[in-house]
Amino acid sequence: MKLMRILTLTLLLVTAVAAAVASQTLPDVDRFGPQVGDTVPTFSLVDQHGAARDLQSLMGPDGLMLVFSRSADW
Amino acid sequence: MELQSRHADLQARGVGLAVITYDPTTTLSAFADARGISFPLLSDEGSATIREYGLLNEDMNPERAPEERRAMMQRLYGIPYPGTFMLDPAGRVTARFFEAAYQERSTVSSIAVRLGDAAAGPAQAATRVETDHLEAFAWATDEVVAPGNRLSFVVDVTPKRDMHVYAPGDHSYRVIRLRTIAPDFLRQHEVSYPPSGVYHFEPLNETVPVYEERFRLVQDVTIPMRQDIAELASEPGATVRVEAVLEYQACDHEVCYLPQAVPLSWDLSWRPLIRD
Repeated sequence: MKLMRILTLTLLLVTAVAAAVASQTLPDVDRFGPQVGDTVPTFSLVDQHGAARDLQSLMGPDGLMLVFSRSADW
Repeated sequence: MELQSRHADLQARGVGLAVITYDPTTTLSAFADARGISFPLLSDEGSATIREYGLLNEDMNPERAPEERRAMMQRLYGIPYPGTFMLDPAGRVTARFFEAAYQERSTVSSIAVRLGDAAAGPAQAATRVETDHLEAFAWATDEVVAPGNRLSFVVDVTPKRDMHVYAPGDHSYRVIRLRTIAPDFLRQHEVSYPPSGVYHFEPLNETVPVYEERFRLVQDVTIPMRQDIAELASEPGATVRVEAVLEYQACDHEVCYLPQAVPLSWDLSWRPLIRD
């Protein structure tokens, strides 16, 4: 039942916010953040194992897919 | 999780994968354990990095929200506009894929196709279609989907000998296109067309943009995050049949044939939202 509650909460949050946002015009997201050709800011963030990670440590030999996402919690 | 299923692919291509959210490490650690996530989930609690990247979602700013939503917004404020950067080894952006709605995200395979990855192949067997004028292989970038996913339907078309079909441009011929017709909740994006050739029709001294060789059409669709769709998706074993039509007009050097509409369909299954 806990799973069902989590699912319900997720739906509630997601749809409630969707309704709130739908009443506004959606932003032009293409202008936010680094653009093609820009070098992205460096950072140091902790991963799920507690290890500090920077761009260098995440990078593969041919680059990195860096995903910004909403919460893992809902 | 869709990203996890593509992690090995990315590794094989020499590309690292990392996800940033505003969650505390404990949340990410529980999430990674529950879902078997093997790539880094980075905790940007307080959203300093999200801000520094200029991606803080100000739609969630509680100060801008009406009174009754303020408490909820307080909890949500800090999430980014969702999107994906492809970086080269020097940290330069080579491509970016962003969605206006924070619940939506392009699937990895769909990004690969839009990056022009000619090697990006079908997740499931392609449907082969042959008409008098062309041969086409139609496939979906993903066979398992979830509300919020943006995926691509791809049609690789080869006109038959001496045939051409029409590319977008200033003319009155029927441009080839893929159009999804069901389910009606799919939100369609613009069809992406490759560069076309030019056909010179001497009797009319007419030049028209056409495809005479093999080319690829990409039709992106987003499955909106909506309560009714999420409920459909959460039923055990639920699947969704996507129906589409490939519409075109073909001509050879002498004859223009009647416009055609070729039905296509894909059966996709829903990714469970919560896994025990």
